[in-house]
Amino acid sequence: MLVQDHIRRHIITISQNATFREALTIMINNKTNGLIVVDNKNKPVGYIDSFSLVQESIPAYLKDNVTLAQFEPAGVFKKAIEKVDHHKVRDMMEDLHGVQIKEDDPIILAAALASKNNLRYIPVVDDDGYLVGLVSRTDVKRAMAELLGIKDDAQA
Amino acid sequence: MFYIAIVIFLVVYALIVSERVHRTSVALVGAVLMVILGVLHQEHAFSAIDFNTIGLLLGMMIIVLITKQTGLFEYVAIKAAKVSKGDPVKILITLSLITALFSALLDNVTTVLLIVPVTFVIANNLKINPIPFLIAEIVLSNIGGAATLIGDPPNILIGSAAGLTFLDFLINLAPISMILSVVMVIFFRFIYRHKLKTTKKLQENIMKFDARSTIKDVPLLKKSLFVLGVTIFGFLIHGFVGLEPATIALFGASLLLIISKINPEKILEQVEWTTILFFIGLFILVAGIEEVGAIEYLANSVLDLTAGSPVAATLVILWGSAIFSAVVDNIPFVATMIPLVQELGASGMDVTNLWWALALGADLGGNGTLVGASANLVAAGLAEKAGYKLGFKEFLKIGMVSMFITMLITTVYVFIRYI
Repeated sequence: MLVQDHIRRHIITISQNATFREALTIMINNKTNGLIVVDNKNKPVGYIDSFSLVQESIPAYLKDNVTLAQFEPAGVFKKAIEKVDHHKVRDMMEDLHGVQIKEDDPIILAAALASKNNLRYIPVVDDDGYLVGLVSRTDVKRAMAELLGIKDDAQA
Repeated sequence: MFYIAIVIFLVVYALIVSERVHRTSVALVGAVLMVILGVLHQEHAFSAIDFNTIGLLLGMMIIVLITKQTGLFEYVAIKAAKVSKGDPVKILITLSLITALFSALLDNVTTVLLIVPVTFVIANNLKINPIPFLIAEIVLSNIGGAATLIGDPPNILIGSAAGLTFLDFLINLAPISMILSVVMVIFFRFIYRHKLKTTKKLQENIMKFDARSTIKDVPLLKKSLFVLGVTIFGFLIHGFVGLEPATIALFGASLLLIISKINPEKILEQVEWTTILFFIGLFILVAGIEEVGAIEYLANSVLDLTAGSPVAATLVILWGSAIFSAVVDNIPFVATMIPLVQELGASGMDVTNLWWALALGADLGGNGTLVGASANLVAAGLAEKAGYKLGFKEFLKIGMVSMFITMLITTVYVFIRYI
């Protein structure tokens, strides 16, 4: 089983220079939780998902003292989000550190990379390093179901 | 050899002050160079590491890391806000005093990391600027840290090198720390009283807080309190039973690990190994310049400068330490001063008072500027991420005034008590 058997070709990208607000807008408009972040040459460098946005918006003082958040008055969350509104995507993205796969790689490579680096999305690139698709954890899950002969009732 | 050692030491010091490279990396490179370039034999370098300091730091870090998980410290802070009936001026007073108390028992950075978040939540509810609270807490954390052997790393270093017990520190430094805490709380109440205005309605928000809901794990809380009690009791008697503080702290830490059944891997990965390795590097660096006679040379200069008068030496060390510690990290400063004071002792001077002067100067000097102590920078960092600015200049005015007030009172204290 190869990457090309479970590749997702319809992907939405965002520039690393885009802002928090732009990322959030694209996610809302496209009803997606994850975007692949590309550099100026349109090559994948990371991804950003709703978790990245949540993480960015919570101020440091609450992260280590989560129970304190119950005492926060109304308006603090809005203020926190407004503060990160203009933060750059490249500063909050999950950096891929060069992790990428090709269409003819075995799917187990995608699974191994996802498990080792805790990545949600692995970009699939062509020989020149340009994005052609991605394999997500969900795609790996489907591959596993296929291998065990588990049918997707909803699709049938 | 003399110049090699001096150059390594001064370059390391300059790089630590410049903060361009991480202080731990610089200290370790310097320490290794002392051995590679032949200033110290490896064996000598290793024996220079004070494992009493390392053990005490490690033991206390483990106890605090586990106790922190219970929510005990948040509970106390929230309770304080409720006891103050949500009145901002009273909250400023109670939170500041709690900060001083916590930082006498925990290290200052941990104290700030626990108190500042609660402060933000309280200020958000009262719709007031948290910066006055933060400045008061920073200043009180440095004052409170001076009170005990375990309150501030310089005290740990001094206690271990001079063989002073936990009780010695308590008897000599806790009284002045308490006096300074009260004076500074009155000072902050006076200068900030107009900035701390809120409404009755917002004060009621604070009264609705359920402090108990911050307690996450009651069985662990009981075990932590038990071990904290045992450890503090151990500290109080360690001088009488002939045990070093490190043994007491490591006993408490291992006891808590056993009875809490927490996986040590989870706790040990949170231990500040960077701080511990920084200490190790410093011990070797200082041993290097000691080996070549530089410390002896400095000690003789101090003797010349003070004409061998203990009074002058005490004043020079007290104020010199404060001014130095306001601009550079007080840990490397104190690590360098320790062999110097020992050298003065070897020349026949009674140095007991000098140890207290060194500890007080180094601890209180941390209030002088924002970079004077790590706790100050940690608080400013948290403020920035929460959307408030506590910059170098904002802090400088009040920090310097606080440092001078506390140092003047301390000078009087030292005169009355020791001279």
